Amino acid sequence: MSQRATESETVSLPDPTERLLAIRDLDAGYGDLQVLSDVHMDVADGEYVVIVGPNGAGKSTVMKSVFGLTTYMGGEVIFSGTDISQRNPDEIIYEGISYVPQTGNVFGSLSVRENLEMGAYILDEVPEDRIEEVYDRFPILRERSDQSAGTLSGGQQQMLAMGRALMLDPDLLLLDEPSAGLAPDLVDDMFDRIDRINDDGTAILMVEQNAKEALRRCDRGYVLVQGQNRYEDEGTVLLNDEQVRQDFLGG
Amino acid sequence: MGIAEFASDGRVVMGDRPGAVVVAAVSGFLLLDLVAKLAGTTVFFLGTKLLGGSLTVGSLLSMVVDGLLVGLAVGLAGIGLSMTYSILDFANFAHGDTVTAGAFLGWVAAYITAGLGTGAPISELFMLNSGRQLSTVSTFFPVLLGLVVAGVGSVAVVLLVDRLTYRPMRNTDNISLLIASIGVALALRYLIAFIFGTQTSGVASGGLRVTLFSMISVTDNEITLLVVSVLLMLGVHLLLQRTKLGKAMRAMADNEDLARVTGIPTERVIRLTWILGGGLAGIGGYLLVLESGTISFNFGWILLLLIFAAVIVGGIGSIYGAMAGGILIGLVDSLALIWLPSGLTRASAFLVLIVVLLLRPSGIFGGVSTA
Repeated sequence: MSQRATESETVSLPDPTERLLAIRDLDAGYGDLQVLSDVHMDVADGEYVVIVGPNGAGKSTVMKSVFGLTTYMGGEVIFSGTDISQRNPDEIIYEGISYVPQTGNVFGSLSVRENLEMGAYILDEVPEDRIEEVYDRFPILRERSDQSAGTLSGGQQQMLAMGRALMLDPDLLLLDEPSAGLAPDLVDDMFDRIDRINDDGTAILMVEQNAKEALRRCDRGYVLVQGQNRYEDEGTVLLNDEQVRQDFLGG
Repeated sequence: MGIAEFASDGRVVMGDRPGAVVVAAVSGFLLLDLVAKLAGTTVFFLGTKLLGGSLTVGSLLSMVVDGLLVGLAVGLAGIGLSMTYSILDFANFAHGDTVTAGAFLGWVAAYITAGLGTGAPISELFMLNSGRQLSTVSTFFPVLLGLVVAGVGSVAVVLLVDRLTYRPMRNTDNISLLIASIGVALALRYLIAFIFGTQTSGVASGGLRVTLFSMISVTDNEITLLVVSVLLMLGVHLLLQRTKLGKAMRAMADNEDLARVTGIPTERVIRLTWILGGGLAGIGGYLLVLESGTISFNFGWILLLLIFAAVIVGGIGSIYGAMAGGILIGLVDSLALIWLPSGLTRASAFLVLIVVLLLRPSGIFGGVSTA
């Protein structure tokens, strides 16, 4: 036990315009139901940030709110200096954010290649070089190129979902529980791949159930509880904090 | 495989799927009966006629051709129904009346162009009651023009209906949409009845009869139906597999939420769905009238049941299923004449629907969705 994780209230927030993504005082939810209150979060250029917390804490809701999929109730979501808090997903995709939902994240009846093509739908032409890059990153997808996505294994579908999201070379990639439903021996491989995507310069904001592993690998982490910020610090600091370990990481 | 093993396999099938066994037995009996009929023999059992009769190969083949033709048109019309189901998530009961609307628009256009210069009054031409019968050979350009107008006109109708009715309620549940579509169906049908009356008009008859393989006789109109619907189905296939918007349609049918976060312009895809589905429905209706010769204000509504059967047999939501289901239902509807009086053939189409659903609850192409 070396360092105490920082309680959120004491943090002085960085200037939002200097951040890739800055969430400030965000209130959001679904219909009349408010899930998030006063949430703040930052992702710097190329940073790898993880959100952990108990079930129902609103982790996925943060992601969806960034992507314009929730009901906006107040606050700001600033991306590259512009407020995107009240935009629709089809506008946000142009800003340089891609989102990989937790479930149903591939088009099952389309082929692997067609899924990647759909990832670049907003471009006038299919970017062959991007498809090649995705295939280089996930070679299994090249092998399965003409196979329909629904016939892929869970891990392969997850790779395809990420590949689809990488087609536009986003500045920020939102990943919702990428390890969910994977066989245990595939989980590490998935985390390695995410590390590599981040090493290549893409900032990542990720929700992960597998909190210990995620915190070990990320730059910074946020602990979210009941739709509010609880702790935030470097991943390893959170990982080693006794309070955080006991309350959220199962000892 | 040993006898014992075979027998026990048989018992497993009997036990697991009694329905399949009954279906197999009935099909076997009908097949035997068909062979006997073709051979011209009759088998009597205990003084009653068990099976057989007489049927020429030629009339069997012409039944197959008839069924195929109706099936193609039904399949064409079914594509739109299946697409609106998978992309917009509701069963569109107004689809049958879109078929009627397209057919009327097309036939009025064909009639007026064919009648111009013949001295027939325009009003009579517009009402389709000048007594003239069009055919592909004798009036090629009017029939072709009518085909185009049927497609374009029904597109206009569905876009207007979507704009006025469905778009304002895009986010409501699908039961409301279904009920709204019944309202649209009634409005369209009685608007047509109001303008054109409720009588059945004869507008087309075969202009040329060709005999194929010295057994099957088909008319030029039937050939037109065959060629146009096969070409259109091929076109739909290419559109879905090769074009960006077509792939986006399949993507959206698959997973609408994901399509939205991927940046697919969902409103545009919905509009294309209406355009394609509506246009094909109108052309399907126009071609059916070309083949059957008559048109009336409610033929699309009556056809809708058959279209629904075709789409459900094929696997609702699947476009290829709609095509295959249409052909299957058309064939059954026609071939049932071998065993049933003509008034009961419709029932046999629904019997096949029930049987298919019992054996394969999601339809022939079910679960594969649009691919």
